[in-house]
Amino acid sequence: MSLPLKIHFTPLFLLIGFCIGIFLITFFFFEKLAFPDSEYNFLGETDQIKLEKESPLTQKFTASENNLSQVKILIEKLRLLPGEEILLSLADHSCQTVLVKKSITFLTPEPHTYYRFNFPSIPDSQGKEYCLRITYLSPYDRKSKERPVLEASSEEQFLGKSFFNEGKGKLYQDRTLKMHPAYSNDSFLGNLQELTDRISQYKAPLFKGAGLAILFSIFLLGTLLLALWIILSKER
Amino acid sequence: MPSLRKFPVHIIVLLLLFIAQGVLFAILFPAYQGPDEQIHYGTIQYQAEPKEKDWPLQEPTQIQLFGDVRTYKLSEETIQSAYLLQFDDLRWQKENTEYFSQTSTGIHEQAIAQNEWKRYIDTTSHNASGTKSFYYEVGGWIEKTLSSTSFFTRFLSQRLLSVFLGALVVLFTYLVAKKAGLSLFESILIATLVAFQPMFVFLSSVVNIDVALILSFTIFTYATIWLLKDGPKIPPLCILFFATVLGLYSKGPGIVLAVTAVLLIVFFVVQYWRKKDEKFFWKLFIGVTAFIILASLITPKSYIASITHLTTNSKFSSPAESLVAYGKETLDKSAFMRTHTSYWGYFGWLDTKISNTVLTFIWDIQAIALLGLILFLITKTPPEYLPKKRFVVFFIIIILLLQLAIRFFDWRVFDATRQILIGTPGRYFLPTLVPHILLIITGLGFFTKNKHQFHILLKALTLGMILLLLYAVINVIIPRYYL
Repeated sequence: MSLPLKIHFTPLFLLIGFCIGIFLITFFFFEKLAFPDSEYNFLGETDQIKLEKESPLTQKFTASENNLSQVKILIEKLRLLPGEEILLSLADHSCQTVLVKKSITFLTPEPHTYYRFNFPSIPDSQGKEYCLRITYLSPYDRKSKERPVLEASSEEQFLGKSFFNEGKGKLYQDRTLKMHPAYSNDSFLGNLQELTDRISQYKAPLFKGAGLAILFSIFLLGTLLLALWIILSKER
Repeated sequence: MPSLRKFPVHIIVLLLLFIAQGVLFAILFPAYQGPDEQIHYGTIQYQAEPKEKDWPLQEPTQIQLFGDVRTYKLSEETIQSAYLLQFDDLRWQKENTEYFSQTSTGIHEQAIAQNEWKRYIDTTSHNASGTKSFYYEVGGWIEKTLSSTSFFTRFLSQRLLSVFLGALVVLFTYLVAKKAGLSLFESILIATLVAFQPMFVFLSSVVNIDVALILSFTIFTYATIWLLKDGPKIPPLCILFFATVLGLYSKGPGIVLAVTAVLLIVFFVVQYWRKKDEKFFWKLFIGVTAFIILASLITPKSYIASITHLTTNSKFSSPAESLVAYGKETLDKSAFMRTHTSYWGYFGWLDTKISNTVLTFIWDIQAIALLGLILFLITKTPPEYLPKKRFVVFFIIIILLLQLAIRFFDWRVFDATRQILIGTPGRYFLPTLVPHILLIITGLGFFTKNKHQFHILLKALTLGMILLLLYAVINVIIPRYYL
């Protein structure tokens, strides 16, 4: 028995489908390509902060490098309904002058752990204080457990960092939301170099730096050639 | 077994590419970020210890704490290197990364590379695994052979052992497909599907014994297909026996191979009895008896006791109550989804997963394949370019037996503790990856009208798997650990 099913794929369609896949992978990679502060980690107890409607949370932080271009922020239960949005804005130290803003909607793809708030890099960011504001807007009265959640360190272990919950009118000193400012380099090659350096750390000497780059190139090129062979080949 | 010169160049290229991607995975995952990798590496170091322990052993001074690797009873080198590599910061902490320096040399890299820490366990009790596995034996030999090299070289070499075993799995996948009657081209595509399954590649690039089990299951599958195709002959029977011993000497679920082997031989005995081939029947009867006696002799009783937990005291009033309670804990949609996720791509310490959208897409493909498979089994004249029904039935049986074995073991532990301590992560089911892939192909292939359409389907699936792996590397693993 065979169900009637007409398929009119051709190598061209396969190639187009594969190229779309590669394009999406590349696109999402560039969305993430920035290098976060890695000098602190989130350990110990965590507090969950359920976002309240039109009740912003404001996090202050100081950039440790130039070219601030992204803020990674942990947002759990990011399942927005049509009409809902989360507004993210980056302002100067006074929290008054908004430098850049972006909104997350129900169309935003589910993030891998961190949502990445990208913006044009700020060249002279080193040492300056910035203000990240997160505002949840919704036309619905969603139950508390359905609303998006931010996470924050529950102990006062992050000296100099603080966040403010406007809904509760409470300042949390020496604590931080689970977020990392991230920086980029002046060029794409500079970014690749830094990525290679990071991956090379704590690795066998043969696969550091150039060795790693060669290995990755072989993998990538070999895989793409294999895919091309699959698309074009016919059984003899 | 085909000779080397009979292998088409494509499969050799595929194996080389698999090795390259395996090495890349081995580099991408920070040390000790494979599941229980600190235990596996610690066990390998334990294996490499001299038989004569001429160093003082002391009572452990600390109680082992879950979140503090320094309280583990492994070699000083394993503990200290794991500690400096921020093992506890990263494990199950998807929001954390290492502390990076601005160069290609890590902050504690010199300290770890030039360490003079003890490479042996100096406590009277230890956390080394009690599992007897050939993986640990070979790993121990590598550790001793490379003892003069740095920690990073030795650790990578252990991971490369997994890459090598993974490459053998890919090779045997090709042989299974060929033996199942698929063409050269189709067999290469099926080997490619396995070679790019992200979770399989992950397990083939970290220090763990699961990859040894996957290899033994794949070799076993090859032998079985050969037997089912050509009948009981000496070469496939020898390979079957070898694969069974290899499985038993890999990890607990290897027992499934022994059970399947016995079932298989019983199947042949019955078949020949029905044909009244008395001479052959007696040969087989002697073979079965010899197999069972040999298997009983080489299988330690402690092994059987450890995988069945028969000697432990139950926390329930009856097995029925225990089973019902276990069913409530594990037989729900979320538990299946967790297994499904960690079968396809839940990397590291199950803290780095591929997206739910991708997982749902894979789930849907498998649901369609299941429908096709049911139709394939009930139809009288399935498409001739698909694997034969008897092969498909075997694939289903071995998958079900592994499911049963894993869940039985999980239940036995639950019965003794009232806790799900082992669980059913998807990687435990990867030993039947090759039968699983072949079932999906068969199920979906049933909906194709001719061989040409079947090839297009195979091509599309293979390209999809390649994209899945690229996505896992570029969009999931690299951002998780480095961005």
